[in-house]
Amino acid sequence: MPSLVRYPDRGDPILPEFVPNGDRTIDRNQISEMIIAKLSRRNSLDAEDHLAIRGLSMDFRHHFASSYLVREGQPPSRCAFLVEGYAYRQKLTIDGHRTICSLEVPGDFVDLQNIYLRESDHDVLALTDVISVDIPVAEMRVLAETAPAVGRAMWVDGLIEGAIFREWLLNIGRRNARSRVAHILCEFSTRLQAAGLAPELTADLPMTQEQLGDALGLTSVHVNRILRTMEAEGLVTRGKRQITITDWQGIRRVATFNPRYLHLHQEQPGKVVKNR
Amino acid sequence: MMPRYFFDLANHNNDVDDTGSELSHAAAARIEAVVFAGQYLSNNPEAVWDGSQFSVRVRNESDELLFIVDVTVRDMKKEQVAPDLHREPLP
Repeated sequence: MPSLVRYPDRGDPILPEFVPNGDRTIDRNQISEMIIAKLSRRNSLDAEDHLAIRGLSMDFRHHFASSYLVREGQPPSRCAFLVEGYAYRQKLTIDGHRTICSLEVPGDFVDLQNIYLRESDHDVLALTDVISVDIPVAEMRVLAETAPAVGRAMWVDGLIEGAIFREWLLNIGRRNARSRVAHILCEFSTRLQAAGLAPELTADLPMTQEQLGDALGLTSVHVNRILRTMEAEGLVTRGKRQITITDWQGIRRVATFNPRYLHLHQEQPGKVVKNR
Repeated sequence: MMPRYFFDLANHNNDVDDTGSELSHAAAARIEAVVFAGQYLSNNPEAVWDGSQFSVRVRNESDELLFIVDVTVRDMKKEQVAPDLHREPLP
């Protein structure tokens, strides 16, 4: 059955200068700083690079949980940057079976590759309610090509995505089921901590058993049993749509987790950084 | 809200599912039980070694037993040597 090429769900537009979030507001200056902080972790940037990033156009968008940020087959016109909430990439088989290929957290560009690829080869959906900014693809290309350090940072970001996919391939291909669950929890916590979003190495992963199953190649029944056992062992606690690590060292051991593949510190290329 | 089904592992440890999983209907639960048995055993093949019994038991929310998936390994060399031990018991 031929797939329809549909334009992306753009989400609801929000007033550009003011994004209400409880008792806080987020403005475009803060978003620029988030983008600078993220790209600075991929490559060292200077004051001119910062200025170029601050000059980007941004449209604020709100997406409800389970809505589409990017659809497979669409030609990309804008690049989405996650400000609040989480998203995930998915691909479907012809009979509707889903794999969740990655998780995206605040501070991630959810489709940086679409700056240069002609159409998206996967869907990106909101895992929770999401606030994002849309930046025109054309502006991102100009930025990459006129501010080479920023271009390199984007390139490095893409390389790190590749490294994460390779680790997910190992996870699904060969890790035992228990280690798979532990590993995704460790990765999520570590990425949040690296982005300055979690004070310690514990985090609430807002995924259902079914979503975890789709991310790990396991039936939700198996995920349920593994989480139940981990809870009994004091490694995690769980609610209906969230899992919290309570014993970081324990979970890390079960996962045999090594954060090397996340390449967390690339600020000074050429300098070897010791892993924790 | 989909109905909830419970998947107990019965082997030398009895592992009772007290949280369950939401599935669309009983036929889906039967499929998941078989898939679960396969995934569990691919990590724990020793669970069926040498005559030990491995089962996945599926209950519904009313605690009725719906399906049992049994997996066993039969050592045919042992059965050849001592066929009497493996004959069906007389009624």
